[in-house]
Amino acid sequence: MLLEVKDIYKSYKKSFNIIKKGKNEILKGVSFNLKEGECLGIIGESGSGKSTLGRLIIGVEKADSGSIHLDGIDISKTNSSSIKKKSSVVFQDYSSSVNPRFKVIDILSEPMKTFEKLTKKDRIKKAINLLDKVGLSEEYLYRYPHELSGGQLQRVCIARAIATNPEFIVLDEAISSLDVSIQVQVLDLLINLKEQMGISYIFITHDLTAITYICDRVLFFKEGVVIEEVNTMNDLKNVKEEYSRTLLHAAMMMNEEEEIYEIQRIS
Amino acid sequence: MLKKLIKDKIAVITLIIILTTMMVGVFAEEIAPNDPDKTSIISKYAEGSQEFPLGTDHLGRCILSRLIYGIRPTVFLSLLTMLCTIVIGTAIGMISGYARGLLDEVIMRIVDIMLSFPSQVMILAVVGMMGVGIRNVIIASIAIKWAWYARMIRSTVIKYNNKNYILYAKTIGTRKSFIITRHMLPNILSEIIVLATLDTGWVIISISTLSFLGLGVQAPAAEWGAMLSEAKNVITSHPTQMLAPGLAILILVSSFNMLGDSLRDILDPKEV
Repeated sequence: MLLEVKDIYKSYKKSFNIIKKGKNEILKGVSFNLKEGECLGIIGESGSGKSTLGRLIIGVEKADSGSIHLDGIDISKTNSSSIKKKSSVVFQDYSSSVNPRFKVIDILSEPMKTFEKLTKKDRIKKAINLLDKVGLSEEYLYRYPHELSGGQLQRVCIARAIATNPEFIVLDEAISSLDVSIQVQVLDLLINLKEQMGISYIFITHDLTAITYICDRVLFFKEGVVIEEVNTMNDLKNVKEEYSRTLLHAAMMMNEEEEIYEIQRIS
Repeated sequence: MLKKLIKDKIAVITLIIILTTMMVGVFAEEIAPNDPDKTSIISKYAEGSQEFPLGTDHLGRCILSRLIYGIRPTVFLSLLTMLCTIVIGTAIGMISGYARGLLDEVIMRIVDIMLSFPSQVMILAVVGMMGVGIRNVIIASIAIKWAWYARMIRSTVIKYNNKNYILYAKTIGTRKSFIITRHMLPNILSEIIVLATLDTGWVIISISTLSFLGLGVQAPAAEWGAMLSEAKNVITSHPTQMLAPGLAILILVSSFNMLGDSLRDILDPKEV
């Protein structure tokens, strides 16, 4: 098992208040597993704690209780770079995902500088190689983030994420802020990379269509708990929980309406 | 960055004005034509001449020389004030932004209290308590100004701490020194530089105002505000006396303000 999440609890203080101590419980006992080379979808509405879970898995925040084991090692108890090397992340908001003062080459160099000692020439070579993998040409190397489009920038973020050869990547709404045609391109790219490099994904989203496109398994997430787990995508239609069905139904309705609208527009 | 600076005409001109003023202030002994404190009753209110290029004041002292010597308290003391303010403000703001929690709350409430006083009144109060003199004026200015910087740096630190690229850096375990020097400082610094440049103008005016009121630099030392104060006594009979120090303050302060505006554009990475 690549990643084992066991019984995670996490709460935030509501605000600083000496008299009354309010707490917002975000995650209430979440457990799941991730196998090698698998894509696990986590779907839930806004504010259900999906992103918090993502931040816990990549180790930038600590859980109140419970444990996260990566290759059998508890990530909260170790700080070694070998653990850090195994995980990576792509965020929803691509514009704040990169330092606006960095050129693409600097962005891609950051993970290289952290884990391996390369000469400048080798770094450039590797950066070109990475850009090639995500379908961008060499000319983007010396551009600033604001000179790239959203889709291009998200590709740069993916390139940066795979620069460390991670074992899994957390994709936190990674395609949600792109338009639909670009979404499909990026999803195809992700599927390709998964097959080439054997990376696992944790795909956090509220978009069911994207999940069906890329994921092997799905967790339905609501108010800080996993309410249903679907292990094969063919079973997706047979979800039992009320909430999962509502979600599924809403997504299908939207698709139907879109189609009807499309037909009306054409005719 | 340098290329953009050279392209911006206003930035270049104001920078030249400020740097020349500073150089003249440093080499005041060599440049000034006369001793700024040498009085001569016979030649008082003299017109501009070979000996006194800008004429003389009510005690027959060379105005140009006094103007040049006046750069020292006006400009250098303002810069000293700004430097102390920034160092104190940045340190406290950083602590507050990183620590959060109780310490942050305590510091921010103190800052709130400092910010709730009108600054000029506060300076007058401090000078009134501690006595007249330029040293107390500087202490008062720093005591007022640090709170602005502390609050700004705190919010900047918090803002950048939640940026996704810092989260990414933490995920892969980038060295702290790299995060601070490459991700945090350039962003914070550009905001500090802009505010500091704009505020230097404010401090120059503040020091000059207090010297004008007789609370800052004391006679007979040359200072632009004090020179204005002396000139105002004869504003009806010799109005030209006010021109030189008044214009000097005007030009220098607007230079700092315009440089601040230009720097804001130059340091913004999105500005092409």
